[in-house]
Parts: sequence; C-alpha cells; structure tokens
Amino acid sequence: MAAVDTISGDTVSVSALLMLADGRFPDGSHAHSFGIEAAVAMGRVHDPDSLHRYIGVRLWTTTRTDAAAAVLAARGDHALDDIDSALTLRQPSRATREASRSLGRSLVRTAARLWPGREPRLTDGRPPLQPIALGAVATLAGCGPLEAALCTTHAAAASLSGAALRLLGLDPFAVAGVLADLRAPVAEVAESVQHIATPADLPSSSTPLAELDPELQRTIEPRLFGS
Amino acid sequence: MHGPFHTHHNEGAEHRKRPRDGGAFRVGIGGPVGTGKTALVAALCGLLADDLRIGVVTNDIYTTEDADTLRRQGVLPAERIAAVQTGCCPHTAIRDDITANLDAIEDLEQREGPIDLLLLESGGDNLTLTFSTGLIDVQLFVLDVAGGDKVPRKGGPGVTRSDLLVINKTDLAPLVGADLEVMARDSAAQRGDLPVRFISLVEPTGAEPVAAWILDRLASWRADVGA
Repeated sequence: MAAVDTISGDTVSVSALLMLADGRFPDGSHAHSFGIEAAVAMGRVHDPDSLHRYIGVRLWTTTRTDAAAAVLAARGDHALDDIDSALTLRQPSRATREASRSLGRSLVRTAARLWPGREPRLTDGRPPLQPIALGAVATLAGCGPLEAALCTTHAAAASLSGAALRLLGLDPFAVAGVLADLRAPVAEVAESVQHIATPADLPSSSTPLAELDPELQRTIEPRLFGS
Repeated sequence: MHGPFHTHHNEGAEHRKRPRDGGAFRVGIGGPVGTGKTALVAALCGLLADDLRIGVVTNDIYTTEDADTLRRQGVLPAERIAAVQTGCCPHTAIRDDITANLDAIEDLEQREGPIDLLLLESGGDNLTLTFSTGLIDVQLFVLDVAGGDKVPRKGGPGVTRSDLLVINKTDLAPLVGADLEVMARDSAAQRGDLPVRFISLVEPTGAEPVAAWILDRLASWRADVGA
C-alpha cells in the first residue's frame, strides 16, 4: 500500500478524499463519458478486456497531465491562471476543453456552497478547467496534493468504466474487476506527478484516440453523454 | 439529544441553504416516458406565455429530443428552451447531481434576462422519480390513463409526494378500459390532502387546471419571497 503511506495526510484527509472521489459527490461528471461513448460506438471498447486497455492508456496519457495540474492547483504555489493556460495548451481537443471547463464550473458551484467565498476562479471570473478546480477543491476539503492526484486518476478510471457499463450493459462484477486491476496504475500515475514543480513542467503526454474520441463523440446521434 | 452527527454548531450550514436571488419560480415536471410531459409543457406555454416570461429546461434521455420538439412547436422563442444532457440517467441530473441543470438555468437567465416561470422537464423515468428541492420550488408528477388505472396505487415518491399529481389523457379512458374513479380514489389514498388534476390535452385549453394551479402557487411563492 505504498500509495497510502505516501499520502500527505491523516485519517481526516483520507476521509476528505473519499468524499470527493465518491460518485455521489455532485461534480457533474455523471453525464460525461469522456469520449468512451465514441470508442464504444466504433467498437473499439466492447468488453471488459478492451475497457481495461482503453482506461490503462488514458491513465498514462491525458489523465496523467490532468493529475499533474491537480497537484499544482492543490499545492497553491502558482496562480490558477498559469496552470490553466498550461493545461489548455496540452488539450488539443476542443470538445475535451469545453467539457473540462463545464465540469470545472460544476465543481466551483459545489465549492461555493460548501466553502462560500473560497471557491476557485480565474482572474477573469471563469471557472478553472476541471482538474485545476478539483485540485483547489481538494485543498478546501482537506486533501493534500497527492490525494488530489489520486482523486483525478481514480475519477478517470471510474467515469470511463461507469460510462462503458451503462452503454454496453457490461457485467458490473467484471467492471468492478477492471477497476480493481487498475489500482496499480491509478496509484502509480498519481505518484508519478506528485513532485511536479511548475506549470511549464506539466507532462504533454497524449495519444491520438484520447483526442479523437471526444471529438467523434460529438458527432454521434443520438448520444447519451455530454462528452 | 445532541448526537455526534448533530450539525447544530456548524457555522457553514446556514450559508449552504439554497440561495434565493430573485430568480424564476421553478416548476419540475416529471413522470414516466410517454405520459405527455412535453405536450403539457407546450400547452402550459400556450396558456401562460402572454402573461409570463417563461423558460424551459429539458432533461433528455437522448440529447435534445424534447427541446427540439418544443422548438418546432414554436410555443416559446427557441432561445428560451435549453436542453441538459443526462448521460443515460435523467433521474440523476434532477435529483442527485443537479449542477448541469443549475448551469443551464444560470445561462438561460443571463442570456434572456429575468424569467418569471421556469418549467424543468425530466427526461421521463419511472415511478421513483423525484426532483431535488435544490432545483425546483414545486413539482408535478404526470401519469396517464393509458398506462393503466392501477398506477396510482403503486405509489412511489412522484405519486405520494409531488405537489401536484396530473393524470393525463382522460379522453382515452373508455378506449383502454381505465376507471377514472379508481384512479382518483387510489390517488387520494396515496396523497392525503395533496391535489390531483385530471386533464386531456386534445383541446389546447385542456391544461387550464394545471395552469391555474401553477399561477396560484406562483402567487404564494412571490408573497413568500417578497418578489
């Protein structure tokens, strides 16, 4: 359980992490598939094995970049605007940027009710992109930077698998098995970005389908998810 | 008396009540698929749009189906109809995680100016559907005669707790062998003093009993909030 040992906090911060990572926390993400609706439509994700591979690739690419942004925002050493610009540059897909901004807005809305006056905003008043909003909200909730990263990586795995379960009607035990098997990358990806120092150091890793699927998803009619 | 979970001393709690900013009176309209929710929204707009500035937010199962229907019917300026995507689960978007709906309302009110009456239509679900009080001021639950006269007896939060139970398509009762007396008796048994309205939307004025109820509740709400 190396990941738990290196978590910055105590039982209280772990409990804060559990609250944020719980699918019942109102963060708007239930309506998003983060592109996997397109992967399902194209037949690339069709069973638990293909789901596992898909999530594994996403974790080490786009999710890793997101987790690094969450760490920076949670640490609070840099202006949110700077982190937001750096992350925007690393998101080629317009659909991804728009979904991320919308989900950032949801988190800001929730934070404004839980911690009035302390919700994260950019200088111009806009909500930050989702991973940055999450990093800031994680700090408000009592999490440390690594926990903010873990929350990002876990949420990515849980959201992608949850959407695939709904779209394909997969066996929920098989999907739970996929999530259990992905514990190692969920922890390792988070750990790999915990010491990131500046927005310029954000990883730029991606993979074509992680950019194309959110764009393709917008062309599906009828589609079920917001992204 | 003050157990460990008593929040009496939580200073943040007072701030977490839903803020009332003088926005629109919000009416949730829920009920199973096919009972006539969209037709009711259209009829209500027809009856009330001359006197009130109305906005509509639909929560569709498939992208923007209901919103498109309303736009085609021309019951309101198209810009005052917004659609929320619900990721396979309209239920969640109106009850557990209402952030996307609140975003849609905020956008609508910002774009269109003050709205008097907001009709929020659920995407059609089952008898367990209910709106969050964080989203709406009052809610209607719509059943139809063609669904069978036993449905009110089955109960569920929509039947037992909605502020108004609407039983639609009374014109079909003789054709489907439904007994309106039975539906009225069972509804009263489930709801106590809460009101029920039987309607048929074959005539455009068929929604008048519902429109009158909404106007009555709108007047009380305005008196309460001092609007």
